[in-house]
Amino acid sequence: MIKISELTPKSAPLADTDLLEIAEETMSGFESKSITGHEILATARTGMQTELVSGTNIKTINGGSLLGSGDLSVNTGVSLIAKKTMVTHTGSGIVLIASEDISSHIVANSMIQVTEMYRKTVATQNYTPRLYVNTSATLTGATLIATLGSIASLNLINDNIANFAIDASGNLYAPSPTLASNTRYLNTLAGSVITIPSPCFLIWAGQLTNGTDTAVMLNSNVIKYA
Amino acid sequence: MSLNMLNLITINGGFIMRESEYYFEGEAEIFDETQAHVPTDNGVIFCDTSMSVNEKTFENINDFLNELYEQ
Repeated sequence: MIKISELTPKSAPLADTDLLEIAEETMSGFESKSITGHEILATARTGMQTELVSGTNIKTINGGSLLGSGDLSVNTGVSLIAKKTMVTHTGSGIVLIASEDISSHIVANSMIQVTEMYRKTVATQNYTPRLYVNTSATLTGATLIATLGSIASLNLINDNIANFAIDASGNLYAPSPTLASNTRYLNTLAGSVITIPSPCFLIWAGQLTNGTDTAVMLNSNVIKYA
Repeated sequence: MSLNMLNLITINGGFIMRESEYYFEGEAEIFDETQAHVPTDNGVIFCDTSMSVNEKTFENINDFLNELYEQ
């Protein structure tokens, strides 16, 4: 009888086609048993993670591989924190048209940028978008942080960018919030320094001078620069 | 006065809203019969007649502002 430990080692990895045969003595002689290399490998791999191949069974990030050791640095400096699209606005007075709780995105020494595009679809008089913050999703008691440029003519499309600075003490700096302007960096009125409400809801509002007019907020993105 | 109504309490030169003090920094800008902006040292506050002043309610923003600025 030959022990397994006395077998001559195979000088290559186990292949699917390798065959291991043994003979077991029985009353009538012997019974031959065999197992293939494929069966041995399949049993050994049961429950094991399939080998990761970048782009095949594990995604990539912007074409870069996730495989390997070490830390993957992710840019946390700029992020989209809110997005509103195609919000139709009718009615008279100043009306809340959208809101978003941005409390978790308020960080010290950062900037919040709101971009907003809007279009007059039924028009006779001015449409003036505004931005507020409040402790809840309501205009009542809200603090004005920006008045965006007015539009009056049918199908006129306007776009605006409003930037706000946040300091380490929880204050928000808003340039000339009552000045309806597309050129907010050329402000001539005093800015506001306000205590950021907690929680902090950002509120998109609009004012139609004529209640029968209609305006559409085409798109608004809120970006945090931290 | 509704329990959910936001009440402003007048103080000398301003008001208290949600336990914070606000001091006037100019005249209110009236938009219609129910809405106005009130400039304060802590920003421009949107006020409307769904709010109360000293637990008094108003149907017209002028009456609301008269009560608010009356000190």
